[in-house]
Amino acid sequence: MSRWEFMRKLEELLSDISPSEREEALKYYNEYINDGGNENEAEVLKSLGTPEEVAAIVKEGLLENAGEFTETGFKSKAFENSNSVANYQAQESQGQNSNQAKEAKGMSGGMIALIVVLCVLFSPVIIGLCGAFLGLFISIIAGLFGFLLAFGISSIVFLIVGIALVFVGLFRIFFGPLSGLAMIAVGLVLGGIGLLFLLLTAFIIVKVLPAVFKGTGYLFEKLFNGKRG
Amino acid sequence: MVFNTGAALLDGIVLAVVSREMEGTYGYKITQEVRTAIELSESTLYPVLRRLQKDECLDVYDRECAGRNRRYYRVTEKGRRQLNLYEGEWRDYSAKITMMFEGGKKYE
Repeated sequence: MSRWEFMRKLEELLSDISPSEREEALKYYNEYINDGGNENEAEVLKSLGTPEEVAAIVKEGLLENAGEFTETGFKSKAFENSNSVANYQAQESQGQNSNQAKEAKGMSGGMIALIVVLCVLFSPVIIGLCGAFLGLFISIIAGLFGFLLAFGISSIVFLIVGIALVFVGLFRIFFGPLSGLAMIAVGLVLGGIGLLFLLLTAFIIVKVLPAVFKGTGYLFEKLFNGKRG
Repeated sequence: MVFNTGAALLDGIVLAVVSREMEGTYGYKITQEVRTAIELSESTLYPVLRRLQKDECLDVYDRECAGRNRRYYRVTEKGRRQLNLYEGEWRDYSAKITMMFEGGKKYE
């Protein structure tokens, strides 16, 4: 298809729009072919698409215009914009994790209101679930603390028993050198294990606990935000 | 490109491209420049330019170039305000998305 055929066909297809709009569009695409088609006219024609496609694009644009132009144009558009931004933010704050928020995305105000009413109706269940989760959390944390405490205490006991054995061994060495030495050896091993466990406990308290707390706080925040929406 | 470009974003991109040229620029050049950023068929920009012109965000004038007339588009004062609005919104929006992708655990 030559450019003349293309333009003639496009003109024909645009015969049902206003003469000024038709002239504008034809002028634009004619110039476009001028600018792009110096070396390869066929190439630029191909990239523009068929005259039917171009005509459809032009008419679609006019349809859009009719709606926007009869209103206050630019200002009403800006207003719409800020509206849609507000809507978007409302949806965003509607809880980041709950499925309800996912369902609410892109829904009408009525649907959102319905979901809010359902939330209120089911609040005993939700609060109950919240309580259960809270209980579970606290028990897990308490359990962890208990474990840690037991670990720390037993390591201290190990250390003390180890030191005591070493002293007793030193004393026994005068009566029976072999058994005394064995006692000292066992005492040293026990003391070593105690020291190792104590260090491990200290490490958990200093390094691991803060991380766990941070993670827990984050989880609580998520839970809290989710239930509010 | 897996993300769609909405009408507002397309308007913003076109306004940004046109605003870079004080003297204004023409359809073919605008199309090629927009196409360096987003996938776009060559014929789609006409309705956008026409609408921005009707909304008084762009004004046009014809200039003779190599024995031919060429239509030039320039950003108006109103267009510049609109572009500022788009730029602000985009900064906000893209910062939030980047935060989601890269710092997901730190939000709020």
